[in-house]
Amino acid sequence: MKFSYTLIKRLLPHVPPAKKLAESLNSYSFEVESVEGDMLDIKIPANQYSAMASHAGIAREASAIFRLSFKDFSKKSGKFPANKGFVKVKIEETEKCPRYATRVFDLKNVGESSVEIKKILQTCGINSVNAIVDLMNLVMLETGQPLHAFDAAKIKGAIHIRNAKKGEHIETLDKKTYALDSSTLVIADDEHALAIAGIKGGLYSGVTKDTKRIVVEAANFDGVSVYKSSRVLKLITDASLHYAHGISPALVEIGLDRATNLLIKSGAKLIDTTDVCHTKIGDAIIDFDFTKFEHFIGIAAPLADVKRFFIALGFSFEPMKKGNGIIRVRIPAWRNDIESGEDLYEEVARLMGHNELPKCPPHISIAPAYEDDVFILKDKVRAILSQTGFDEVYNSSFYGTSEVALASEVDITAEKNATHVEVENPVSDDRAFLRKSIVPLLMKNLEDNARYYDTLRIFEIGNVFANHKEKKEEYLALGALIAGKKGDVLILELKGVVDELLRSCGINSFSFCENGHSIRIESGKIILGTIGGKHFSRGWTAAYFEIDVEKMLAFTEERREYTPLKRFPAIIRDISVLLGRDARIGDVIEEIEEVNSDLIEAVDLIDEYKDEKLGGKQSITFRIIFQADDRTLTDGEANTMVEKISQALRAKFGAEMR
Amino acid sequence: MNSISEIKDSFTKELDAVSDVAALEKIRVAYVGRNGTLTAVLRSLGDLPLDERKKIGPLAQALRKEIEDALIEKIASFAEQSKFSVDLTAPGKKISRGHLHPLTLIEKDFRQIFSSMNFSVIDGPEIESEYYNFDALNVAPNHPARDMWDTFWIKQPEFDGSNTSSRDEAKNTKKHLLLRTHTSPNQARFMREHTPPFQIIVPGRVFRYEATDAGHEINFYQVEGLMVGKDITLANLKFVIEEFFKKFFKGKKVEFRYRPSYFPFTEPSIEVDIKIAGGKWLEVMGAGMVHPHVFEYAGYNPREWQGFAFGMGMDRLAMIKYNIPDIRLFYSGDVRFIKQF
Repeated sequence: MKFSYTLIKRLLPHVPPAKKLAESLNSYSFEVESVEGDMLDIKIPANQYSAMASHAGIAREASAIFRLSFKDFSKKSGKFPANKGFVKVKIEETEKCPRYATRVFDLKNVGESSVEIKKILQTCGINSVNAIVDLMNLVMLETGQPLHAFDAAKIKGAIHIRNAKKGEHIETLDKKTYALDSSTLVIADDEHALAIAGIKGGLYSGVTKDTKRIVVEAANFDGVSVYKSSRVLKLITDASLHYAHGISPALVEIGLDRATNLLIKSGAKLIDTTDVCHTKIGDAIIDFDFTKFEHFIGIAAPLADVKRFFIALGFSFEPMKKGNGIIRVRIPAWRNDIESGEDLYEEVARLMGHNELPKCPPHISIAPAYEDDVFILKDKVRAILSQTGFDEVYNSSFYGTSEVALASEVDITAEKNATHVEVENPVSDDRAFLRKSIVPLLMKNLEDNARYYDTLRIFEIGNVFANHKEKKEEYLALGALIAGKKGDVLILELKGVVDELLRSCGINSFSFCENGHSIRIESGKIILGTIGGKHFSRGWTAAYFEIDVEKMLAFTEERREYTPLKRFPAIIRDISVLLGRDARIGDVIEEIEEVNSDLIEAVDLIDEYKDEKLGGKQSITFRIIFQADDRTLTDGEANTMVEKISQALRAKFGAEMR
Repeated sequence: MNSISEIKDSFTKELDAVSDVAALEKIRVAYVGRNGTLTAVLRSLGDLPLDERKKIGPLAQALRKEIEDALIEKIASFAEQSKFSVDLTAPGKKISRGHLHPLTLIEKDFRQIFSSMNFSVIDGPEIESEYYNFDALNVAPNHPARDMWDTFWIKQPEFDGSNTSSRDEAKNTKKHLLLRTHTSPNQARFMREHTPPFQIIVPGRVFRYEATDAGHEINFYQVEGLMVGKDITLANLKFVIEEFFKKFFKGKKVEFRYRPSYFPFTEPSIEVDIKIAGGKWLEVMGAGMVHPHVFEYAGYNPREWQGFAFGMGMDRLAMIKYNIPDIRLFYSGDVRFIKQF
């Protein structure tokens, strides 16, 4: 919000220079975003518009900081005539308009504002129109109460504060026409709408140079209602900003009194007043407890300072009752952000200076700290994958239709009925969906990185989202991708990585199940994840996996047990077999192991070879390690087992031994 | 007894055959050791007649010198042989290891430092209800204060998001979903299920509906902190914050500046600025004492409990710590960037 230093100085003549003022407001009040010439751009806290979104508010703060005396205009100045009935006010929506007051003035003429006023308005981003309109704006700047002046001659009958009628339109002062709906409150005469309540005045009843009599309006409108209407109309004005933040109805009088004084000074004559108020306006009474303050903030507040701050802020208080350490504070109604003791503690603490506050170690309970399991599992996964040469990426949680298609192609979520969660207000079409899978963006990473590398190993661990029937679900997923130009064997490399990863994370029972062109990682009946592959342009092949980390967490067990090291030497035999192409290596290995599961320690695949010369067959070489726990195996025993293996493979797969 | 020349001949022969230091040592012991052949000759000199002693003595002494020099020379030649036959000025072979994302490293720092101060580390969901993200944090509906957080809403047919006014009418904010705009919803979530005293941090991804540039992303990371007890003060908050930043930027001088601020869920609210090694002031944290209304929403009696909360951007601190100029790099998937960490 823009403020004019000139206007602040008019209200508080001894205020220090703008730079110094800005610095101190930053330290003790609120953020001054910039100072440019006469203009201070100040970020008024959203709950303090009633008290602070005005030059008086800033002057009051400055007076508290710099120990200056500030005579604000919240005290009534002068007597005004009572209601003679020039203006009849009918509030139909008292919730939306708790207070509506007017004063009627006869004018000598409507001229232009002084150069100084014009400059002040300009600094605050307001166009000068004529002396009357400018004066209304000036008083809003000074007091924080929006005011509006109608040309009295244009008002037919009473003033109604009502909801807009269906199909009602209004042309505002800036000559724009708005179609209104029944949720929007308007100020109307007997015939039609004169202004959008709390937002903008209408052109028809505006003050022109020919205006002889004006009706000055100061009202209070419900913040929520103005906020909603200003959003629906997409029309945000200085007035709507004040109202939307919820200003006190007490400001009505302050604003009107100030305007009255200025108008009379300029030669206008006050001829009537009205004030319709449907709300109770009262000061708040709150105790300031010195003991509680110290217990809350961590430092004692000196009585003299507290009193000084309260006086400067416009509060009054009763003297402290003997020995109870409490003063009873009266908070003026316009200071509607102060509702509790904590609010008062905040005022005192900030004016004492947060920088001045001591720092003090807290007393801590010795209940041991812990980390949620996912953090520990994520650490493990990251450690293992980075040790295996994977780089970690972070991708966006959002993607577009092309990734949605990829996600279904890579078939990560085994539950096929799950759909993507969509964003209601996406920033762009390619960020309209929440990721259901980690892999699609890893594939995009591959395309982006392909020109810098000839192999790529990347992974990401993060939350993914899916719609399951009626429910939206979010779960932690791990995706990884190996890419290179070595061809399809990459998928076996990745399978090895998954195997190592799961074991290292303490998952002891899981299996790989062939599922079409991909591999399912299962534990019992639960699907933990998928391994798959995809070909890309320019000879790139990628293998990827995705694992549901939360399901994985459920299977993690810290079960590590020492198995005695083998004391007797092993016998190693390589056997080569010629098999039909349809024989599956996994099945063959299983068959070999079944020959003697006690003495066959391991079966490793060491070579596979496919060639047309082999006549549609494949040549596979296995290395078999025989070892016993209790003796040294003899060559004879090994030979017998190899023979049994040969028989078994011949019988089951029609294998030829080579 | 062997003649001097015989000793010399056999030594020379044996020395030539030697190929390692151990064998060399054996030869040394055999000839010039305590019971070595040459040592025996030298020791027996005293028993010889004077003229023989005069003849053999100098020869034996000369041979001892010769043998010792030969041994040293041989050792040197071994060293020469064991020299690596590569150009040691050539660059080292590239070893490939995986690299963790800088934000992972930063999160680890955070967790480590706060764990050392007995803070627990808590996880929370990214899709959040409007209730936890706003209402339970004392952010009033239909108030401009809510505009401090530009929000992504989740498409839900029952809340028909196509126009804003119908959203306003949707009463059930517990079912109305959004992407959390901060990690603060976890204050209420955690408090509902735990009884103080406790102290926690909640690191996690958050979302803001805004234009992206070097300083802004639509998804980024925050860390929330919350400490509640019978007598936790604003002065305690300052202590914890300063301890954290001093450890986070260890080895560098860190200065602090506190400014009053406004968040609906804290009171007093403060803004924390830091200056590292005499550089510029940087805004790094919003913090304050937990607002009594937030305790009420969580089912606590605000007369009984008090505490502080803080929130900071992990991306921003990573940018400061690693001198990264653009937040978008974190989410670019550019492996050249990741490999630097």
